[in-house]
Amino acid sequence: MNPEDLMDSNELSNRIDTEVKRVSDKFRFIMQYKEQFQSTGIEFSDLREYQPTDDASRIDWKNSAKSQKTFVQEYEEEKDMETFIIVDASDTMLFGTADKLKSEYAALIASTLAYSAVDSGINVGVGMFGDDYTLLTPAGGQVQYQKILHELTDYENYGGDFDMDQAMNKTIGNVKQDTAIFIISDFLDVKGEWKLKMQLANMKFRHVLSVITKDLRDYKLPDSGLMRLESPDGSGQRVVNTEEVKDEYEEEAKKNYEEIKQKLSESGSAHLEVDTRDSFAAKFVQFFESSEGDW
Amino acid sequence: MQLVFTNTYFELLLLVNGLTLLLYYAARKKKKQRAIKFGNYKTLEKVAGDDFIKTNDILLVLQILAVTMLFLAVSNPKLEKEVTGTESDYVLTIDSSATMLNNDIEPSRLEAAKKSSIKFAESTPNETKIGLISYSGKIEQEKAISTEREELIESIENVSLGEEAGSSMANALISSSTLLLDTTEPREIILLSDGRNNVGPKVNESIEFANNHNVTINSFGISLNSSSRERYERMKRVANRTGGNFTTVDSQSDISESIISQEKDTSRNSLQMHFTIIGIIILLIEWSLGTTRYDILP
Repeated sequence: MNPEDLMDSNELSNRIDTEVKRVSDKFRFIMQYKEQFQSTGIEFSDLREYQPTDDASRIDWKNSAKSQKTFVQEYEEEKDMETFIIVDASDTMLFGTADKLKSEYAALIASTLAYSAVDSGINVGVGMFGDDYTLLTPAGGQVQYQKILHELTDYENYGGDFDMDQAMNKTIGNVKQDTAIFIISDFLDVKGEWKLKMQLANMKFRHVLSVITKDLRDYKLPDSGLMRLESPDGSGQRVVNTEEVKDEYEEEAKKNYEEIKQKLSESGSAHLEVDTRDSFAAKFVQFFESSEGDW
Repeated sequence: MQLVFTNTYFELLLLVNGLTLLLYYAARKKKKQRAIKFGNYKTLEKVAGDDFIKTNDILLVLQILAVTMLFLAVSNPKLEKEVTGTESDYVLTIDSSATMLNNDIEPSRLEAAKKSSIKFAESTPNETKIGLISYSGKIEQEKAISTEREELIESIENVSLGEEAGSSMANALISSSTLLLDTTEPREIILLSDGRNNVGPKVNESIEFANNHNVTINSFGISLNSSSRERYERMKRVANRTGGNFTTVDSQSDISESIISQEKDTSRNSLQMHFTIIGIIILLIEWSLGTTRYDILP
């Protein structure tokens, strides 16, 4: 897409920043409420024999009574989970019929997640994958949030195909184990055999949530008669009678989404569907509430 | 009944038409037209199949048809059909130059041409108008078209060796065409000559003049053989380019039979206007469909 056709990058960045702050209170609240990300403090780890230097208050009297030895309880501090957001930056995301392109909407979701994480003292990183990729490993603080926002609103980072296989490879290789992964994509023309990598990611990371981002026209055609439509990368054009094919199109799109969801479920990833016309915060709240921390 | 195209540059026009359509088609395929970017293009491609390509091509086919019709109209199409002699009016154009005195046809080429012309005049119905031109290096004798047979036959009998050296065939054909402007019936010239044109304008000019006035020239090449290739080609070209018939004749009886058999049953009607109107109608249909049923967004 020609950058001249789009909004100025700074303007978009400011707009998203404003929207993030508007919705994030509610969003962060639910995230904090569900304790999805923050640690509970310290956690029991093991029993060991008492040493004279040990704090007497840590003696496990119950277990000590059962044996002839004195045991103390050992604890280890539970660390905060980190967040890493994978953003589909392919051509198909540069499309939208609501007030935002899917890429803008995805940027808004990612920025909100990042802002909420940073504001809660949680490290957050982002990976954007199109023909090229941009990767910011998890870190904390407002500076990290501003970096993420800058990358998400930089048009140079968009375009090309979304290779999920490559995205999962980079993520598995660069992000540590105790991390929640968000994948924001329309899953329309995903390249690579990614199912196995997704399974590996689910084994490595604490959570993997795929956010299926849809525009109305991704699954529904208008009754507009003949339309000349162009592929996202501009390589092909078609004239199509939308009245004639809309039913079949809806059916096929629905089937494709079902296949994607099936594949995600089989690979162990949770998924959440959002539409560019919807409030994604409400969708996330609903998702976290219904999953009760197990996602 | 058959369709013939009488424009001198018909072949060239046909080639230009073909090239124009090819270039147009290639440019249309290459040019990216205004289109709406579509995210789920992959699914769209899958469900739309080939049907919409055909829909889109209806307008293209109509455009091609319209352009072709207009090119054909410029090519001066004529409908050739079997008719009786009464439907056409004629001018007999007789070469009376010195070479026509050659006696390879008994008694001479000129006399054979004259006798055959008289037979033709006698065999045609009374209402058919016939005129006469005889020529050598200049127009020797000119008689306007009329139904008066006796006067005509007398004029034919009076045709004699021309006074001026050479043969001015093109001039004679232009004069003959001019005589036929007085009739609204199909116009035909019967050219009796050994094919020389060494005085005056080129034959192509007379062909163009005849075509411009819907005059058909039927040429009868007298005593043309392999040694007279240039004259043979000239006589043939005169007939073919005006939608007429070309015949070589080697005897008086041959000339008479050929003239009578052919002139009684050929007629040509111009279809130029018809093709033009059809082309315009197709363009209007294409425009109408393009703005209604096949109006494409954006």
